[in-house]
Amino acid sequence: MLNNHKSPRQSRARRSQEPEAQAPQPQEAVSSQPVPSQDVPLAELDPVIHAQARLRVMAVLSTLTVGDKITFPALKDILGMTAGNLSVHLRKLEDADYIGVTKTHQGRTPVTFVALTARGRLAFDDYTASLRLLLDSATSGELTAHRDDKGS
Amino acid sequence: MDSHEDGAPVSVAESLRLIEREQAQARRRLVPNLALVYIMWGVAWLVGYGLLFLRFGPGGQVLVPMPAFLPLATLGVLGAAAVVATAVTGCRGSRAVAGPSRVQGAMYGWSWALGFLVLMVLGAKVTPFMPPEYVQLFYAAGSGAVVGLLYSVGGAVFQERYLFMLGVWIIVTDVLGILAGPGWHSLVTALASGLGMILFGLIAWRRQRC
Repeated sequence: MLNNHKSPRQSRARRSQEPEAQAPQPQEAVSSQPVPSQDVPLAELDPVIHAQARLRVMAVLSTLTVGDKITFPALKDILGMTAGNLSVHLRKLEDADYIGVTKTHQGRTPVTFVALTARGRLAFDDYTASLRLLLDSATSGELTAHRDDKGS
Repeated sequence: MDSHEDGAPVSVAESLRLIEREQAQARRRLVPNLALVYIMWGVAWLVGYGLLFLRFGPGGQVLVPMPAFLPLATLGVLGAAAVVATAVTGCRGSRAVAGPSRVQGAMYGWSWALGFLVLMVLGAKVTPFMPPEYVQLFYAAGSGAVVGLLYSVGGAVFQERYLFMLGVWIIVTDVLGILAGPGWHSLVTALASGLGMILFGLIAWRRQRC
């Protein structure tokens, strides 16, 4: 019943960056069971992506076709964030090599484009896959706990 | 300050919901909603070809008396409105994104112009030798072929199964209309192709809303 394995990817992500998330995160909350509900507090997820604002940025960028890039103002409008706030988060994602920012000109107007890097797309896919895995294990943990209750 | 703004979503389920919400929002903003465009084209064909059938019926019959210019003028006005709507909708959203998909969309857009260019040039060369009812059949059937082919190709390129099926439907009804002959072709195009496009537009509308 114990489920305390850690994937190397999650450990690497944790080493690479200080977790910023301030939400209460009981250690090993996910691995111990029975789990009270599907809403399991998250631990051990990629801390670069696992901040709401950056998760939203990554989710929007993930909808682009591979090779496509979106203008900064369009990204800002979709997310409803201020330019300053978005810039801060983009810099953090760029530092992690999850996104690429290119500055170019259309006529005389300077345009900034943002896109996921191959590494960023992989990290986002890994992140969502981990979420689904956690949700599945939480649900099956719940079922097992329920069965145990009935059995005793 | 909202503590969620920079903090972590508190749960797995919430994170997944957030991702889905943002992705849906992004698609709504970046992928043009062509539902209205299909409905406008469907109405143009239903009304325009419907009037053509009533004024220039099979065997030259006038089923409903009306000025001879009215059917083509109606088709022209409704078609022009649909062309404008197509161009405006197609270009919106594409400005926000650069890369392969914009090039793909532009090539697809130009293919439409090229298809109709061939039809017009060929028509100008060959229709002077045709009886009037066959001139009308030539342009109507030719337009159906261009539209049907480009819809089915669009379905293949953009992996839209419904769009491919709409293209096939328009080609099949076009062929049946041609075989039935002048007059009947207008009726088949109005009802089968026109209503088919309206139905497709409504399906696309529902899928965008969901």
